[in-house]
Amino acid sequence: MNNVQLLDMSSRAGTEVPLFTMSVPAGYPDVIEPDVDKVVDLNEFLIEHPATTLFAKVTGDFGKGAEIRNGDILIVDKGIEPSDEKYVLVSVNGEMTVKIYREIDNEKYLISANLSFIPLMREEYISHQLIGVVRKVIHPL
Amino acid sequence: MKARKVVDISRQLRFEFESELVTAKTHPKIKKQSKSEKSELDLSRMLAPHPENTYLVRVTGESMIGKNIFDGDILVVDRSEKPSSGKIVIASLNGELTVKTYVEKDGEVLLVSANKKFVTRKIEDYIEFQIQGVVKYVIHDL
Repeated sequence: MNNVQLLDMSSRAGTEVPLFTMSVPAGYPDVIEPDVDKVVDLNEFLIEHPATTLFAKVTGDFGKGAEIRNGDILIVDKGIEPSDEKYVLVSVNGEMTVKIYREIDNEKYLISANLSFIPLMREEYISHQLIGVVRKVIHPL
Repeated sequence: MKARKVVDISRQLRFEFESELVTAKTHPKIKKQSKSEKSELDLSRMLAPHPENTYLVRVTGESMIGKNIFDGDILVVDRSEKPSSGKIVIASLNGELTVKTYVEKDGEVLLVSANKKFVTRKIEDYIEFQIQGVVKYVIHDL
């Protein structure tokens, strides 16, 4: 189980930072100077649809090898439809949580991210509301 | 046709109402907390408190897979932070930009690749070597 704290986007004038690309795969012996690809605005670079974006800070166990970990910040887009195997932010019986959305043989499922929970079929006796699709995960080091 | 639709909705509402009741009874604290804790986040300020010292690197290759850094990820790097042992750093080695774990051991500086396929090297082994900053955040597309 995981807990989610919702955070609205606070808009601020753009912060511009340079973006580099690692010039060659690690270990490759050639000497190449890293090039500045471009200067990007952080918000514009990371947020596709500002009007429908919110952030979610997650705490809890997602299991070993999961792409989302305790303490991560998620960038969630409320304006797009989920597709199979996407992480989604949902309210299940009034609790905000992160699940994996699955469509198998036209049936829709919500699966807990650490996969140790039983798939939760989207039946009407479970009150659930899809809030949005997780687009990016920001992991602090 | 119309009447049937009304019945369907009322049935669903009843189920939702019942499960709301169950939630309220069993998890009153969690429910309350999730409602009251909504606040704001300034993403730019969080990622780049000092924009002039911050830059992004798009990762290519698989040398950091053991540290959950994957091909295509974006790293947020602070070039003003002094590295300490165990931190993930961007280093330019013989002119090549790489992601390594910075380790100080017995007075020596080692640069360790998380992926065991790549060898650990001492910094003396490089002709030209410069730490270009400490990685603060990893941003991964889902």
